[in-house]
Amino acid sequence: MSIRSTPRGRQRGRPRLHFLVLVILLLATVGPVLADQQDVPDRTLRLESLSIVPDDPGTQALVRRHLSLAPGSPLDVAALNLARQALEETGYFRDVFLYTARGSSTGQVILYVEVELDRRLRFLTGYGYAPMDGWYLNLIGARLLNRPRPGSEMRLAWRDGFHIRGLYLEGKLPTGERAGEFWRGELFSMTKAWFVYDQREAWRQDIEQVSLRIGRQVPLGDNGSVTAWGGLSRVDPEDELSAYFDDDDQERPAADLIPASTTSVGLLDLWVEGEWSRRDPVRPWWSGTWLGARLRASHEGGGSAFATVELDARRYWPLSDTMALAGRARGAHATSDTPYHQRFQFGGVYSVRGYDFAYLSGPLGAADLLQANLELRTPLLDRDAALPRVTGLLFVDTGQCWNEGGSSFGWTMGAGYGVRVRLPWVQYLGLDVGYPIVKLDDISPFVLNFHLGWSF
Amino acid sequence: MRLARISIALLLLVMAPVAIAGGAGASVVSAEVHARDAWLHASVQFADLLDLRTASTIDSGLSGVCAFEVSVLGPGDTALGRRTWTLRLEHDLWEDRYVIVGPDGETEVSGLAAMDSVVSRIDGVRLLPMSRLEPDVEYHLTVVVEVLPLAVEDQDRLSRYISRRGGGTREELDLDLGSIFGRLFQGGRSGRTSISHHGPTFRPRTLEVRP
Repeated sequence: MSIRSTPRGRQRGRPRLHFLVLVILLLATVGPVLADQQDVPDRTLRLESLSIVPDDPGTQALVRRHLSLAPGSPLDVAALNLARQALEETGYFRDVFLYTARGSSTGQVILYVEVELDRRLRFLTGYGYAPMDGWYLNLIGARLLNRPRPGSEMRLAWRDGFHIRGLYLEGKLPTGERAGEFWRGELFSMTKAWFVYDQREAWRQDIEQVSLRIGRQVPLGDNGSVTAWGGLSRVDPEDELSAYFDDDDQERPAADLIPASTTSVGLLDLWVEGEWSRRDPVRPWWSGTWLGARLRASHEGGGSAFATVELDARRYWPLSDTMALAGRARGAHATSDTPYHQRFQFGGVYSVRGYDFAYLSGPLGAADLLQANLELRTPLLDRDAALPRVTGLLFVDTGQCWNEGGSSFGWTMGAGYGVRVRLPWVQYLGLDVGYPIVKLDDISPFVLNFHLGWSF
Repeated sequence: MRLARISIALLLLVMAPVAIAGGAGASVVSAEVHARDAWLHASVQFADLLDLRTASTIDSGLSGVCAFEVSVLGPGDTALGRRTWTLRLEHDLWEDRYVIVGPDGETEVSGLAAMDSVVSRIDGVRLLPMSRLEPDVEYHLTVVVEVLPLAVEDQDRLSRYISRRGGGTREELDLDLGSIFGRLFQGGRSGRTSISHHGPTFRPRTLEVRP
């Protein structure tokens, strides 16, 4: 046994020897590197603590909510200037001043943030974007911030959007210990354009709406929020349709094209809106994910009730530093008792380009819809800039909607190209040319969409 | 090292009253012009230029900045010659080196007090050829200095007039009309050491000529 065992023992010993040599070589190679790394001190400046002036709890909470730096964060001049710029851009502060002092040990830094709250009435102009409703201009308005407490906001603005126009009074009051908790209130009087088509003639019906609603917004993790609203609305569709063709304004009774009641209705509304966003903070159209949902339950003065639900998901895949592929999927449903003017308009910008706006949903709107969009975005001018001056895009949109009775044009598809020009005030001005891939009767060979911002 | 820290602490303590007054203690002690090599030169001496907050920031390892502008104004306050430059003030915590970085390169100094001394003196900066000045016309010198912690710039950024807010299914960008129009009438922003010094008045014929 022992004679036989010797060679076997040698054979077992060789791998052990190889392993030992390997370990020695490994230690000889990696050891000095590790030792060197241990010798190199960490020369990164890091935030030890934060001191905010003035020290009232409201201002402290407001600054902390909008400051991207936390204890342990690496600090350099660029990071601090970005933090200051981010605070200034909230509009809550009239002045922001940052400076630092030595912390308890070398490399530890105490950051002092001195702010002056902006409590003055500001007159403003600008633009806004509600991802599920589209872009609009705040043509003129006024804003009062930090009254009655830091982080509060009151704003009155005349808003003009793609198919809405009106006066909006909005308030926001921070509450609770958690950042991002608000009471919100809105009172607005607006006109929504409802489009119907007589062959290729586009007719417009104005839907007047006055609404008052109170809401509670709570944060959803670090990247989302949910707002529950309750309120009252009065909706009054015009009896007339208007259009412009043959070089003149045209009018006709709404009943000619809309086979539904145009009497005004009073609504008691409950809304729940949520969004979750992890998009790039500087270029949200280039990278990240956005999810949105909106549920609504309404009771009509006459006794009937209806509900709607909308789901929206967007994803932006960066293909290079400035080029991106953007995708969107959307679905919506309205119950059978939903008044036609509270259903969805489908076709054209924000849904399937290549068809006229709201052409596919018909005069009574869509009760159900599904859509998907793909868009390739690439810079044309300032190609190396983070925010190129002119961006070109190629798109393919597809989708289908059904009316209350379940009838539909079938699955539709449009494709085309467009440009986005970056401008100081409106941010992005867009022009899209869409071609219908699925041909329908009485449609234009192509449709030009001129609008604000990105498509989604 | 301990001595250096004590010195810095003492310096900060001494400078504290000045800084609490919002940097108002900084001043121009002297400003004079002379001719040399057929060019007009200016020399300026400041006092208390490095305020507490900028000194504290430099001491913590982040940089500060001094931006200078020296101009010669003619009749009707027309600018005939102007020199602008920026000094970046740095402290390498681990090597304990204090460095002033300017257009002419780096200068190492022994500490914050020495840094304050160096930046507080403009010594014979060349402004414009004497041939561009009329001998008997009255001109004057203006000096503007801004001292800031955290270096880079404090330019008239658009972010002062634009505010962005998001969340709650809506994003808005506001352009503040009042600020844009109001900036024409506003003074400097708080927390900065900023000096705008007017004078002295001189006639080229009576200027001292230095070798």
